[in-house]
This record gives sequence, structure tokens and C-alpha cells, in this order.
Amino acid sequence: MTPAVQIALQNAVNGLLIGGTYATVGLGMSLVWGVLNVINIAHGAFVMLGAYTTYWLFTLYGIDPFATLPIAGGVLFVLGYGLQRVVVNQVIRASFLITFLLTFGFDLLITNGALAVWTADVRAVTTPYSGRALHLGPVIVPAVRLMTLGVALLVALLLHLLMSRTRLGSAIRATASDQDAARLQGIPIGHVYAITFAIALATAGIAGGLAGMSFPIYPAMGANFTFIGFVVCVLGGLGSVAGALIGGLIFGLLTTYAAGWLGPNYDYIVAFSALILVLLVRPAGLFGRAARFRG
Amino acid sequence: MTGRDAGASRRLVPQGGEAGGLAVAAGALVVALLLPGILNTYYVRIITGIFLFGILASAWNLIGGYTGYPDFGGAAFIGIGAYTTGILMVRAHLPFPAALPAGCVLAATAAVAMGALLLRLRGHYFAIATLGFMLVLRQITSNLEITGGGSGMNLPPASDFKVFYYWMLAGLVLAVLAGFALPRTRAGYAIAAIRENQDAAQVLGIEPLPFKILAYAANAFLFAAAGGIYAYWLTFIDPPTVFNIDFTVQAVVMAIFGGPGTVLGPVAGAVILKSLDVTLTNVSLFLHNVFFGALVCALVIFAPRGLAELFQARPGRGRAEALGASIREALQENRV
Amino acid sequence: MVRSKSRVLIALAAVVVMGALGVTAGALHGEEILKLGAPLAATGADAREGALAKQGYDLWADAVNARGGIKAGPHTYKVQIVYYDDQSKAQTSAELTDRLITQDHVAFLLGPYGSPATFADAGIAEKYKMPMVDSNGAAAKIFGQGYKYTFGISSPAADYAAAMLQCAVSQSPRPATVAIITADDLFSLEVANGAKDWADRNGMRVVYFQKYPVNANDLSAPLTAIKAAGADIIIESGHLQESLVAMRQAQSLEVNAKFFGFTVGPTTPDFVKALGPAAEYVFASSQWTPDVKYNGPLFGSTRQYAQAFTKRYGFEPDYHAANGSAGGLALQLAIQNAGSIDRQKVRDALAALDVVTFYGRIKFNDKGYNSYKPMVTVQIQHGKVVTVWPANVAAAKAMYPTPVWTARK
Repeated sequence: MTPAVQIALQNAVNGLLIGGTYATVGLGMSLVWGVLNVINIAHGAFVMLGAYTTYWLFTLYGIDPFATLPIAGGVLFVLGYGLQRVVVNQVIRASFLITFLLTFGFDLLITNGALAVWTADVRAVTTPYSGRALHLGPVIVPAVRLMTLGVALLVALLLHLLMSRTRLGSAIRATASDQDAARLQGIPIGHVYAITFAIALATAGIAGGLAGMSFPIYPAMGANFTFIGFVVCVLGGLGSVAGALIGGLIFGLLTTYAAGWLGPNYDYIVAFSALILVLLVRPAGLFGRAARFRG
Repeated sequence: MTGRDAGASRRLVPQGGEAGGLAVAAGALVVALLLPGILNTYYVRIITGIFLFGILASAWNLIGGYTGYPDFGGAAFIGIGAYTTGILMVRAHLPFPAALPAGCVLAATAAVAMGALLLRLRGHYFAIATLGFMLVLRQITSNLEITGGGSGMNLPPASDFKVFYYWMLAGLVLAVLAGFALPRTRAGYAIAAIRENQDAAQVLGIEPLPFKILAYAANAFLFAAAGGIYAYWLTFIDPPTVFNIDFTVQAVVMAIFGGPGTVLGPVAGAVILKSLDVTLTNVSLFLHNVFFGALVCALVIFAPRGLAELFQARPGRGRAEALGASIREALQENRV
Repeated sequence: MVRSKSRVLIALAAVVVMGALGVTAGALHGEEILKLGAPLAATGADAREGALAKQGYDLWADAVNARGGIKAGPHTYKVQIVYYDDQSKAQTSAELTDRLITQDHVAFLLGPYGSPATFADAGIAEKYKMPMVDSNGAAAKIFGQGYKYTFGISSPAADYAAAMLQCAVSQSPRPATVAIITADDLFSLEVANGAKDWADRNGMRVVYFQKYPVNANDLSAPLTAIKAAGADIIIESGHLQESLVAMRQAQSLEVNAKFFGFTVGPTTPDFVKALGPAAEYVFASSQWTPDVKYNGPLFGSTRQYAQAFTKRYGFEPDYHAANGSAGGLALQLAIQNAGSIDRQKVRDALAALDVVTFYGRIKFNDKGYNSYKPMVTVQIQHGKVVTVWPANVAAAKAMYPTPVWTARK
């Protein structure tokens, strides 16, 4: 195997693995955006909260980071439900830009609140197995990243089953496609919205826990992830679980190959150019339905 | 019938308020011209910053508020303006008043070219695509020699801070005039129709793309002006400083908060939010952003339509609004 | 009866109030305050380093105030530092500097954190002819403007890499190839280019040289390429977050090198805490470590400074804090030498300063920065930052070459 092929394979592995984290970040945002038509600027901040939850549980109580994921998800689920019912519901019928403003305020609050409480110290979750890797021939597959991808697939599967096989899922989809008809059918819209937001934030929390195992943890880390979430959502198509998953993997591959072939300082050029191309050819993203833009 | 009459009587009120709004604006302009003589440099700097955001918010309003296309990548044009001005001043030894318009024209041209592609997208997708455009430009800039790459570039220093103040003020006046004039032109009616319902407008024979491009290019021109002046002010620019999404986010917040679709709303938003930001920074070193975030949330919940309600003047909306209303009526009559 | 009681109360209150006024008036009269301005990052990308710099400034201010203050001729001044958060933004830093000068009427300026902010603030300081001691901005650009009022106490950016590479080539087996990755910003690029120049001039082969975006989360692609190219030395020029990403990914991707060198990161307490055993053997260059052997005014020896810092903050100081303390100290000594707080006299005293302190020699060359203090190279050994080069200040020998990852389990 020539070195060039080896590098290409390694980059493929690296790209897919990091794509798993990206996909998990995008899942929640896609749900909120596709169903509630809310652009959540603060999504990255919630990811950050998930990362810190995992960090504190691991550091203070020694719980294995993977085991903290359901807890991180649970904490953010509750937070999401509360926030939606109390705050976001007020603006749910308002224009897309008003919700943008609100989530912008959330982002400021949460990021700077975290900075005030936890300081700017950079932290990390380092377990005994943090450095382990599988060797598949000449290619190295870091263990933590591989498990992250596994969790990402699992979460995507669960979400898909939720949306397609459960009553709650039907209620969510009905509300997304026609709010008024759903209400006429007796679906409690407020509750459905809140559950949707809660689920989305729970996935953000899990994404954060996963991110915390691979990336440095600090209060401002969310901004990166919000960007990534946007791209993954748009690339894959809003409201589509498969879309977010594939969008994340593709974005991971694109940036890794761009960094490998041209240099790390070309990663956005390649990735976003590809994004714009995709949108021009398929304006609703790879898997999205035709754009439903309100006004 | 009844709708038309109601529209007619509505038109009278805005006109009365319109004159009031103009008087306020003129008065403010006179005051602004005199301020640098009275206040010390610290306040002059702050106010220049407010003017900067006033330009951005008003310019964004043209594409985001009037046309309904939320542009998240405006910083791309700030960067084009900043770097073009810088490069022409440093390499071609042009004086600032010559370099700045060149940057603006280049940005507008880029907007026409990119707009032809991007403005075919709608809503959220347009937003992300424009953001992508900005990030691509940023990385391209940091990979080029002529821009100094990631190390940035130095512009020649100016003699006196007041230079920036007056240039920014001029830019602001231009931006407000653009916001005032656009709805009153034929293009303005088309743009309002596109905002209300693009498909219906198309059915009625309005070809949307050229008008959208016009708004987008105007927006780009003004953003580049702000960028060029800002570069001269900062003296040192690098890609992350000028191709920075913070500019766009703040401009959007100010425009929405002040009232999108109004002429002076975005400026009011810029004045109030920037002043609040400065005041809060002085109150608490650490918590000012927290306060600011809480404030924004509270304002959104309790005053979702922004400050526009405080401004009776909604100039230019009279005729465009009527057009939109009649389109809606036409559609409703055809619907079963 | 009631009325007389309340009269007594009023009289008592009056006495207390007058007494308090008298005491405070006396205190104000005896104590003169020297206000210094410092626009330092408390939030934003540089928040962590800004906090460390602030600790340095505060330690100095407390030390000098504990001795009664700064003596300037017949007057003695207690130091009071006015801090503003520049949010890691150069433009905000410039505005705040303007404010400190024109609104708060500070006597002198202490520098912000970071080269872009320092560059912006230096322009303002120059305009108002206000001396500024730059403690945490080492980019050459700052000193290429012909400014006369800014003085940088730290060694310049280009020295960062030279120190590490000189340490590397003094080891055996002598390394021959270098891979360099750098963040795409002013300071990091200067350091990286300095490394490349040094390598080229000293017969080493640069097998990889790439920039990455600031705050990049993923360096797997460049690391994969470096692994394929095979390099004896890997130099990373960037910031704390990126150094953590780089080392972690080097570990998980099994990228081996004889010498891993970072410019920023390893000397902060976060690095060892976050990486655990993966932090071992990592080299870094440093403006200063507690191991250097200097003696000077106010703080005494380097060791004494480190002890004072540890006592107050609970961990050993890294160079960001020492930079801050040294900056304050330089200003203090200049004021003392000038015998006054007149801006021109203090500026001239700074230009003429030549003193050895706990930090090393502080003397400014004609461009305004301290080219007289050597940098040192450190290595993380057994979880501690240890000075390993140059030999005359080394606390231990360098552990070289770095064992391969598979041998480190």
C-alpha cells in the first residue's frame, strides 16, 4: 500500500469519526429548526453545557464519561422543556428573526454565565482509555472517536424510531406540517413543542458529552458547534434524521480531506463551497423536503 | 372596498408622522456634526462605533427587512471594503477618499455576482449560504500574499480621530437615505411585493431576481463603506477581525430590535443597544454580557415588535403596503 | 425624657460621623494614589491568559503597596490598577485605552494580553504620549512602527522557536527533520516563520509547514501527513486549546516524534491536568520559569517570587503571570529612577532602564523591546514543568528522545 493510499484511508477514517460528532450536534438543531421553525443560535451553548455536565460528573464522581451521556441528555431534556414552555413558547408564532433574537440572548446568557461560574480554564476528560486505538492494517482508529460514532448512530436510530413508530412522533410530525390542523385534532401543541425542544436539547447534551471526550472544554466552545450544526442541518436537509447523520459525515469527510490535500487553512473553503453547490442544485439540502419558509 | 378605504385613511397618518420623523433626523444630524467639538475623544470613539453599527443595521435592513432575505454573511462585504481600501492605500498609494469608493464598488460587484446564485435560495438556506460565502472569503483572504495573509496588514495612520467620525457619519447618512429612498422607487414596490409573497409577485409579472440583487448590492456597498472606514480607523486588520460574524449578528439584532422595515428603526436600535452595551461593561467587568443577554431575552418577550411602535413615521410603506394588500386580496378572491 | 434621649443619640451619631470623617480625611491626606490602567482580557479567546496576566499585575501591586508604595522623589504613591475587560478584541482594547487615558486619567498604562491588542493600544498610547509597559505582546510588528512610548519586557516572538530548536539540537542523537504547524494569526505566524528560518540556517530539513485556522478543533489531517512524512521534531505554534487538541490527536493517531515542542500551552496548569500522561516529555519555550536564577529588587530571587505567587494563588506561576509582575516592576523602577511621575521623565527612565530582576535582565533596545533576556526551554517531566535548557539554569536534563506511543502504555 503506497503512502498516498494510506494517508487517504486514514483521512477517511478521521473524517467519518469526527463526522459522527458533527452529526449528533446537527440532529437536535435539525429537529428544532424543521419542526418549530426556530433557528437556535444557542445550540452550541447547550452542547457546551452537555460537555460540562459530563466533565463534572466524571471529575467529581468518577463516573465513566460514556455512562454520563444519558444523564447529560436528561439534564438538558428538563432544561429544554422548561425553557420552551416558559420562554420560547411566547415567540413561537413570531417571525423567524424574533426567535433568532431570543436564542441570541440565550447564547449570551449561557456562554457568559458559564464563563463567570466555571472560569475560562480549559478542561478535558481524560480516561485511561483516551489514547487507545484499534489498528486496522496501516490505519489507526482511535477508540474514543469510534465509540462516539457508535453513539451517534444509536442516537440517530432512536430518534428515527421515535419519530416514525411512536404516537409522540406522529404528533410531532403532524404539528410540524400543519399546526392548526393538529390543534383541531386535539393534539396539545404547547406540550408537543416543549417535548420537541426538550428532545433536541437532550441530543445537544449528548453531543456535548461526546465532544467533551474528544475536544477541549471551555465556555466559548459552543460557537464552533453552532456553525457546524447549521451546516450539517442545511446540508442534510431540515427535519430529516438521516439527513443530519449523512450531512455530518459528509461535512467531516470534506473538511478532513480539504485539510489533508490543500492544508488545514483551506478546510472551510472546500466545505462551504461544496455546501453552496449542494444548495444550488438541491435547494432543500440533500434529504430535505421542499423549502417551507414562512413569509 | 372597505379594505381599500381603510388603506387610504391609513396612508394619511404615516405622512404626518413622516414629517415628524424627518425633523427628528435632521435635528440629530445637526447635533452629530457638532459633537466632536464638545465631547472628549473617548465619547467620540463610542459614538463613531454607534455610527458604524447604524450603517450596518440600516444596510442589512435593505435586504433583510425590506426584501425579507436574511443575510448572515454581510461581514463578507465588510472584509472586501476593508481589504480593498487597505491594499489600494498601501500598495497603490491611493488616498483614502479614492480607495474607499473602490472598495464599495468592488463589494457591490461581488454582491451582484454572488447574488445571482445565492438569491435563488430561500429563507434559512439563503442565510446559511451567505454565511458560507463569508467564511470562504475569510479563508481565501488569509491564504493570499497581497492581503498579508493571517498576519494581517497595516494601513497608514490618520492624523486625527475626527476624520473617522465624519466619514462614518457620512456613511450613516447615506445608509439612511438609501433606506428612505428605496421603498419610494419602482424597485421598492417590487421589493415589498417580494417580501410579502414572492410567488404571488412572480405570478403578477414581477421578476424577483433583479430586484433582490439590487437590494443585496446596495447592502453590500454600504457594508463595504463601513468596512473601509473601520479598517482605516483600526490601522491594523486581519481576516478574523473584519470577516467577523459578530458584525452581522449585532446588525441583525439592532435592526430587528429597532424595527425592520422602518427607516430610522435600525439606527435607533444601534444607538440604544450599543449604549447599553457600553454602560453594562462599565457596571460589571465580568457580567456585562450576561446582563446584556438577559436584557435581549426580556425585550424579545415583552416587546417583540421592537421599538418601531415608538416611531410613528413609517415612510415609504404607504404605497408599497397598498400594493401588497391588493395582491393579498387578489389571492384571497381566487382562493376558495 | 424621650427628647433628651434622642438628643443624646443625635450627638453620639454626630461624634461618630465626625470621627469617621476625620480618620478618613487623615488617611486620604497621607496616602497618594497612583492610578495605572490595564485593558486586560477577562472574556473571549484570551480570557485564560488574561487572567494569568492579571494575577501577575496584582501580585506586584500588592507587593509594592505592602512596602509603602512607589517612591517618586519626595512622594510615595500607593498603586491602584484600573482594569477593563477588552473581551480579547483589539478594537475594544484601543477604546478602553483611550478611556483610561482621557476619562480615568491614569498616570501610566500596563499592557493588555496578546499582540493584536497590544498593537492597537500602543498606537493610542503613542498619540497621547503615555508610557505603556507591554508585558504580554511579543510580535515584532508592534515594535516596527517607530513608537517611542511602548516598552516590551518580554523576549520577541522569533526567539520562541529558536530556544526550543537550540535545545533540540543539543541533544543526541541530533534530530535532523522538523515539521511545523501554526495557527493563522500574527504572533503564531511570526514564531513559526522564526522556526523555519532557524531550521534552514542551521542545516535542518523542514518536511512539513502548514497553517491552520485559529481555535481549530481538529488537527488530524496535518498530523496524519506529518506522520507519513516522518519528522524528528514537531513544533506547534498556537494557543492553549490547540496545543491540547494537537497532543491528544498525536496520541490517538500514534504520531511519533523525538521532540514535541509547543509555544503556548504546556506551561499553563491546564495542560498537564487535561492531558495526564500524554503531557509527559513535551517541550515548550518560555519567557521565564521558576527555575531561572536571578535576583532583583522588590521580589528578591526568582524562587522567592515563585513562593510568594504560590502562596497567594495556590499554584506555581507560569510566564504569563511573571510577565505581568515584571512589567509592573519595570514601571516602578523607572518611576523611582526618574524621581517623578512626569510622563516624559518616566518614559526616558524606561528607555534607559537596565536592571536585573527576578525575571531576568530588563533593558529595552532602540526599537523598544527587551532583546537582552534569553528565553528558556522547559519540559514536562513527571507532571511538572522543569527547566531543561540552557544548561546554566536547567533544573534537570532533558528526557530525550520521546518514546513511541506504543511503548508508553
